Amino acid sequence: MENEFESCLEMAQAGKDHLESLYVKYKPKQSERMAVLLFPERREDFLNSAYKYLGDYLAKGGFDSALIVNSIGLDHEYMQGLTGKPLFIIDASEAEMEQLLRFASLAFMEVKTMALSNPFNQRAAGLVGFKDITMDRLVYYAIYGIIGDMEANT
Amino acid sequence: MSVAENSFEAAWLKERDEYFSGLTAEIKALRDEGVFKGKRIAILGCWQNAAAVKDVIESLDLKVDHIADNSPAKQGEIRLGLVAQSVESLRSIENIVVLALNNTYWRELRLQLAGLGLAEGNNFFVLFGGESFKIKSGFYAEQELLAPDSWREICENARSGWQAYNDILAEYPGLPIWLMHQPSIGDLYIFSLFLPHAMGKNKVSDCDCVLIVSKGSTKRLAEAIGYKNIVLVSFEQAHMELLSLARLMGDKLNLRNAVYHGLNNIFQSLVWNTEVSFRDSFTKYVFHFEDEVAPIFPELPGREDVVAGLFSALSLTPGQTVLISPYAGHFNPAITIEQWTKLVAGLVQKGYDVCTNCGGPNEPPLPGTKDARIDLRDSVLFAEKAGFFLGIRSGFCDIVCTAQCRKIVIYETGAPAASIDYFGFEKMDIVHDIEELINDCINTDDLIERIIDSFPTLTTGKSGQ
Repeated sequence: MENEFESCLEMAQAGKDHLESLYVKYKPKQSERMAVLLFPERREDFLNSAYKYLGDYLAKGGFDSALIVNSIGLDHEYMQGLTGKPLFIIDASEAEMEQLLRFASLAFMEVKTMALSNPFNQRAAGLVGFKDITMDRLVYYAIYGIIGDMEANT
Repeated sequence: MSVAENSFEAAWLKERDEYFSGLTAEIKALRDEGVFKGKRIAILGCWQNAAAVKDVIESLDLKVDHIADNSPAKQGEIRLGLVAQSVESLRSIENIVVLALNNTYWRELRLQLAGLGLAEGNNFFVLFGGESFKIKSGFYAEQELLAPDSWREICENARSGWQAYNDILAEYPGLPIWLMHQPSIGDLYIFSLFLPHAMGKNKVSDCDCVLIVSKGSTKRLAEAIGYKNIVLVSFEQAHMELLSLARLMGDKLNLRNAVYHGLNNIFQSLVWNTEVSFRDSFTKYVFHFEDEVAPIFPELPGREDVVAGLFSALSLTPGQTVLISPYAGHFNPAITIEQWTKLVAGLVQKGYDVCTNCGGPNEPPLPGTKDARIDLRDSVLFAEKAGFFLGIRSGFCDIVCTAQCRKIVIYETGAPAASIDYFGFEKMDIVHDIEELINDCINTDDLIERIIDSFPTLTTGKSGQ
């Protein structure tokens, strides 16, 4: 059992090391802020909402750029066209994404995971369609965590 | 792992004291520099703690002139006697100084204020409550994704949590473990309404599980409700160690989070921006029920002799006593002591005996009332024997919600912890025989009068207490 803990910690450490090396490499200037997002989710309706509000997330969060690590084969050119900010889009394997998610689960304030069911404690899939929770609202408020009125700002 | 007696309150109060001491020092320094001279002061980002922030500012002979918030739901509401306004509207106010007080969203607020044309260090200041809070907020971590000290702390906490988890497993092998790190009796009560469904049982006492709690009062309620295996841990163990472990490897453990927060901010964001209720946080997020289920109310083991003894000792008349619960764990209600005194006097004049539910040393009886220190397991029985319950929305209201007596619950506009939209019993579809009133913090005197008027004068010829 002890091995299980150490194994998870090692995975999280590996994820951290990987993400931080990318962060240090791509972060443009000392004074600028770079958002860090993981894209492991393939669900199409979710991704549509994620693309739709990426610009809002970066603008309202005061980010100058974004580091996006994905394991779903994101279209780099399409993503670059979504916002006016530089996006550093990195492709990762499923195994690498697992490590990144293990780290992101611990560092959920610093790393945004764009998924309904990842990391394992996200548990957001069952909320879509409940009361007034549309996919757009879930992504805007809960996944991106954008402050302010979605309807007023979009 | 040692199961120590409750230290949660002490740890929480210590952190809170440290924060407000630091904040006082920060604002005092600005005052002494002349920053506020001839200026109007606005506070932003501290909705929940607004009253305490106001106290800090007034202690320095300053005045809060504006309160702003980004949530459209809060704009226009009364808070601290002021009409809350949008952040954008601060731009048009001359001679303004804005204090941004939010250690989570400080970056966004700073950016927003700068975007309005306000100058940091002149028109606005971002305050953290002291150096240690500034560090925790990530202020110095801008150059790295995660500061080395933060990562080290997370790993150490997770390791300690792992040891604690294994200790519990050793004591209760094979049982699912629910982590109720939130030290609220209300959260535990509502969680308990639906746990039997989640475990395929008819009542809590049939559920073979372990409940971890972090406060003595929560433990006492858990015992009263019928949990068989309860583990009381410290604030640090619950909030730092076990939560860190759950974040790291919750998918591989027999450990479940009993509330919606602590592992991420997903549901919290929905609380602020959608129609979800307190009940939904359990049914939809904690338990993931696909269909709605009816709550299974626990039967608290009230002690007839103890309650009768209390009535006798306090000279309370059964059926003609109003039990008032004026305190709430997570916010300072806006009803003043003078307003409560007036309410009590009005009830006494009509012939009622009045007692205050006093839960702790910081909860004295209201003037003119008897000090009723009611054990949680006797609370429903006591309320029923009294005949009348009147309380500020709090966890205690959850516990007595099934009492067969007249029940009045007061919500408060502008107080998230007492919001009828989120915590309303009718809204939650928990019970439907509670009179739910809203204190808009402007017409509180009228509210008090209406409550008094709603009680018929007793004809037993009692002259009051």
